[in-house]
Amino acid sequence: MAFLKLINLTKRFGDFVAVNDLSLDIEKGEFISLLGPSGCGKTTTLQMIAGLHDPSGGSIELEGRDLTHVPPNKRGLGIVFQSYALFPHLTAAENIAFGLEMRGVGRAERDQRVARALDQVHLASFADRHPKALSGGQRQRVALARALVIEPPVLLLDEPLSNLDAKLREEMQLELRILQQNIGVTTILVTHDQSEALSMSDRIVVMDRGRAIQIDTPLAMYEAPGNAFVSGFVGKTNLLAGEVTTTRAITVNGVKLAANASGLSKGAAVRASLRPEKIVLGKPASGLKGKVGAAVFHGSHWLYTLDTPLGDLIAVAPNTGEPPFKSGASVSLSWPDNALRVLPAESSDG
Amino acid sequence: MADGSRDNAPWFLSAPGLALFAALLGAPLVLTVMLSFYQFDYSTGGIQPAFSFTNYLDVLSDSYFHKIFGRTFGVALLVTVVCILIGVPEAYVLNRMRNPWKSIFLLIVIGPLLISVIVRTLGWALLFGSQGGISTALQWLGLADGPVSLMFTMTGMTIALVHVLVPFMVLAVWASLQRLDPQVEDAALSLGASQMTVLRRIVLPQVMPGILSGSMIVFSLTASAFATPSIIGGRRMKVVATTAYDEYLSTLNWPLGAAIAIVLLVATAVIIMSYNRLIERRYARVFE
Amino acid sequence: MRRNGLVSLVFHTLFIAFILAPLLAVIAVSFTGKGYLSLPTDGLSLRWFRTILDYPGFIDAFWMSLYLGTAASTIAVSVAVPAAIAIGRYEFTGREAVTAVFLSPLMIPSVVLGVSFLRFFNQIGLSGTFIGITLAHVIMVMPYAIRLVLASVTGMPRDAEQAAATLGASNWTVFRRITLPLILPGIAGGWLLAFITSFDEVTMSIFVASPETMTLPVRMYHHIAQTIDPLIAAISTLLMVGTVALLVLLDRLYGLDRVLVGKG
Repeated sequence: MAFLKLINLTKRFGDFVAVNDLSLDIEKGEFISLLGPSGCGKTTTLQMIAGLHDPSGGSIELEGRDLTHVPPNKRGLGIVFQSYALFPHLTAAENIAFGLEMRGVGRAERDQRVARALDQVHLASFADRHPKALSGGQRQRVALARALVIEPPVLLLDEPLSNLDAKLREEMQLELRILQQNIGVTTILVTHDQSEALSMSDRIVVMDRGRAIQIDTPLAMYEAPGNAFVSGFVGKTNLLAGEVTTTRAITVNGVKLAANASGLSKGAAVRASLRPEKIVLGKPASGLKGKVGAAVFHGSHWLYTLDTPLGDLIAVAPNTGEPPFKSGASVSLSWPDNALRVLPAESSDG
Repeated sequence: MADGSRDNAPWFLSAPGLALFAALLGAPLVLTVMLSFYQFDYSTGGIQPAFSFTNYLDVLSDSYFHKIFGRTFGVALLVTVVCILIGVPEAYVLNRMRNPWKSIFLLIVIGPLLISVIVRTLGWALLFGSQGGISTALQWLGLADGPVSLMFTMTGMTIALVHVLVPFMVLAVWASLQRLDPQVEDAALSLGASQMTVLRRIVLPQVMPGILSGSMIVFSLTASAFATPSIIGGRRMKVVATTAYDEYLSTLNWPLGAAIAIVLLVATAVIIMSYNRLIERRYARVFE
Repeated sequence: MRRNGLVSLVFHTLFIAFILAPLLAVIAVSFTGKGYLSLPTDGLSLRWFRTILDYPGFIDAFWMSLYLGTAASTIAVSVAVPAAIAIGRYEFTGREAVTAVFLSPLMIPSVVLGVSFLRFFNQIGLSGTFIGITLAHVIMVMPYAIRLVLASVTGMPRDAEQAAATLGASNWTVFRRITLPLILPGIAGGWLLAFITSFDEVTMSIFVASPETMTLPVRMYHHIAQTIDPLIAAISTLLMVGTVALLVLLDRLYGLDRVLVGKG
């Protein structure tokens, strides 16, 4: 029995279908990310779970209890809003205490739990500040503490880190993940940032145009994307268009490449995904050759654009301290056989 | 909080206000329209609830009323034009000032809106009298031979009404200047436009909505002004509002007074709406 | 920073002089020691301010205006708050129409309002009563109350309310603990602007005020219609001092430019 179940959840705004028949089982303590471009329905899904939108169809169950038509103030879920939605007229401590007060928790216990929550997010010395006097990161922590202090069965995070700068965001990703694992709270994160989803989640739900496209662990999602949309959205990739030659090979621009095409009929049009970091560049030798277009330095690695018989490709190579291949240099390309992933053609329209 | 489930909430929330307005604004207006079709009996001083157009025919055919309506809308037009001529430049000058001067002068210019019209009109009455400041100043400057009084003159009434109403014009233009990107002016200058061209071609069209709403406020408030025309204009310079007042409280001919008020309401509405149409068509672009 | 040229500054000086001249004239005359209209050439005198105390009619009218303004703006604001929440928070058919209804007293000439209220109160037996003039003033000041409260409702972060709801607060608690404190400056600003408008109103009140419900501006109008003397100047000076004090309060509370945009 799943802890939180979304069953055929649907939301229509007039003619527009924001969320289309979404079903998802979430286990207790799991960290789930809803990942997708803006307008894919991920935030609407979260708001339906929170009770801020009524679903047009389907239902939501928590521990077997139907939540679908329970008003938000009776659901008891913890939510961190994208804007943090702190109460501007209350101090950090009063913000955090609000939910406890609503639950009729006594003064002494309330103070104690607020102090503990503030401590948890390293804001003990900011208790009496108003939101206006806090930095972006501090506000984010207050919002998190406010959501967690009520010990909710489910924590909902709506793009909680998108307003922070890049460095702070990475720190908070790590901190949030550690906190979540310590407390063991079931968490749903909405994000459009694939690296955030990859780094924090137990499982990722990739959404597009209201539908769940693929539900998988981050590693499986990355290594075995279900279709071109997922492979393009989760990490960088080279998408190659070709046709099936045999069950063990495909042909791209007249070049025959080894790939697992079992189950596909000969001559079928397919697309294949090749991750840039799987491509190994070497001195010109036999096999596939290419020409370096640009070499871009990223500190830990080099990014190359390559002109090859397969078309333009990108490749990533770790920085070993050696000088890179120069622009215009001829190189040979190779990759492990299982690196080239054939994607089902019918859903490659994303 | 959930959407869709509480469609009645806004009606429920605005119900007290709407009920209040229906009872206390709708009903009185309907009663007044009805009253304007009733008859006044001069012999008994009573009101005959018999429907007729007599009052409107009186108002629309009598040259006495023509003169009063003509004067009222003439003054309203004059006051509006003067308010545009002095209020728009003042708003522009204010907008270019630096703080704290900007805030101080803005307060001086628009603060008087909150001072009673009676007080402001009294000030002009003091200045206008033959012993007043203006008379003394004109004689001292050699511009007048003897005491001059602006009391009970058209000029006096216009000056006092401009004073009472020009803050509305400044305020309206000021508000639209706030929305103007100052870099747009710089851009025009950098393209070789002279300061005058920038004002005429760049600034003016963009503050047009402000001038429009300002002049509508000034015009309609002047057309229905009572205290200032009554004190400065007196019996010699009667306007619609003071005439209606006299019909109600001196002659006690309420039906006629009601008809005068309704004609004022309709005429003002028609003038304002046609003006709005005209300007909106002309400056359609800046109104989006 | 672009600067104003000489011509602009000369124009500005004349404009300010024009605005201040009548107000200064009133103040100057009110300090005269003579028995007739004149400038206080031989020293400032408080003679006419003392004389006000001999005219209980003005004192009574002052209290009348004070009670009236307080009652009318309090009723107007308590009706305006839910209405502004409806207009500012909900998309519903008829929303524009509802807004137009609440702002309509601004569009109707005060004389028309005056004659309408006079007729109406006569018909229902409220003529000359405090209740009658109060209700008339509620309608008159409602647009100002609505505008300022509406501005603060639409300017308030919506998600703070959602957050409170998800933390377990009932609708009423959300309103009392979150919405109300956040729109309070707008409510206070709207109340004050409504109060000042009611306190200063002449044109409509002159029709509905009876000798028992005579407001200060109406009393002053009747006095000026008879005679202009330093006494009325002294009363006007006190009124200006009071208004400036309220202006400062309003500025502190809400920012004067924002309030006055509501007036225009």
